[in-house]
Amino acid sequence: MKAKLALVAVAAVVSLLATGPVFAHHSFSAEFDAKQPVKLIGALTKIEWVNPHGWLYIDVKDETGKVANWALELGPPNQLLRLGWTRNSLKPGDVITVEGTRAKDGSNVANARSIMFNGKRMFAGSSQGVRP
Amino acid sequence: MVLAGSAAAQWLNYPTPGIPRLPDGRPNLTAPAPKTSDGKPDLSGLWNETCYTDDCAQGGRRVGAIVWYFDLAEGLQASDVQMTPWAAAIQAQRESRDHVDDPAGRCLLHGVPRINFRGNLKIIPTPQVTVFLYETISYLTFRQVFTDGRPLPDVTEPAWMGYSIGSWDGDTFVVETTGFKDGGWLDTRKGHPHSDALRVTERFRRRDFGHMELTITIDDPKAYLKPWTVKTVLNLMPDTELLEMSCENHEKTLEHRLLPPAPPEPPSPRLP
Repeated sequence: MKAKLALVAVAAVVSLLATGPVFAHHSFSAEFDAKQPVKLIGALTKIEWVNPHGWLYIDVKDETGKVANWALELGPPNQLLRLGWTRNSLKPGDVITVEGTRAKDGSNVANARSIMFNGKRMFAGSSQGVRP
Repeated sequence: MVLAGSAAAQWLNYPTPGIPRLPDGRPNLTAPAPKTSDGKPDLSGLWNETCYTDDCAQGGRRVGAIVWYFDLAEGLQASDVQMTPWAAAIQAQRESRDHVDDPAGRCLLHGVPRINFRGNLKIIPTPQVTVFLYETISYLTFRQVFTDGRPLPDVTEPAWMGYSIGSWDGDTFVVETTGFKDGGWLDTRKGHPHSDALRVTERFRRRDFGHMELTITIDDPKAYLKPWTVKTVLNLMPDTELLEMSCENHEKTLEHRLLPPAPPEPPSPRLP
């Protein structure tokens, strides 16, 4: 019944959200460079849950132990809300793995294509136990 | 039934009162289309052109696909959409620049009919005007479709969304819109342009409780050698509401943009 409908709708959106740029209200290539993929692991420091793009900030440690703060662009929070995510889905200190595309200007900014926390895909259509 | 977490967005999961339901409580999307007190089809509801469930995929749509927002002519033959030289030059430039010059990318209005393909649409019929409320992924807006018998106006103030009137053709609500600003965008990836001569006809027919057929005709002699028509279906989104959406954090997006300057787009030529 409702759970089945939820799974169907949720599964349907997985492929949609896998191509993150499609959701942007603006041209992806105006800001991000498809030739600069990044994979980052870091602890969440802040989340900005605002439209049209939410932002996650994580502290990433490099090989020397130096810490840099990265800003990661999310899709519109309204869409995430409709998939059952909220601004409290991640908490400061949570260590996440992000795959994405770096900003064209070379700054510590990336568009987040995939966000993993404890083996679970976050802010995507594969959420568990949430209502679309 | 309603998750405690939904307190984060107060009406996200609120059950819509008074809609037909199946024995298990789910909305009955194939119930007959309702009627208003004057016997006309009732178009009320929250609608979305994107298909999120297997239910709406019965019409052959791919679930989750966003099609006409990116290319309004998708599925048509090339011979159906023949651009004038003015329009073709602009379309080529917009597509080659990966639509970075799209006003919608700066949180500006999407125009008609593109606004129908970018988010949620709430239709509120009243006796003198049918109101369309839109929640897009960057802002909120509305359209007033006047049904009080007034003609389309002579326009001296062209608008992003034009000026609309509506009337009934049997069980189909026909919306005519003119008075558009010159040089708008009919879609996003292709960047099909329109001129200030554009006239859009949208025909809404509520097939059953959960489905609204929408037929759109683009008639713009300065941009297209002949009118062209696309058909789609809007899907009812029961048990949820429009949410607020504002472009409050756009500066951050702009911080990291590196945009080559846009060559100017010439205004459309006068009609002979």
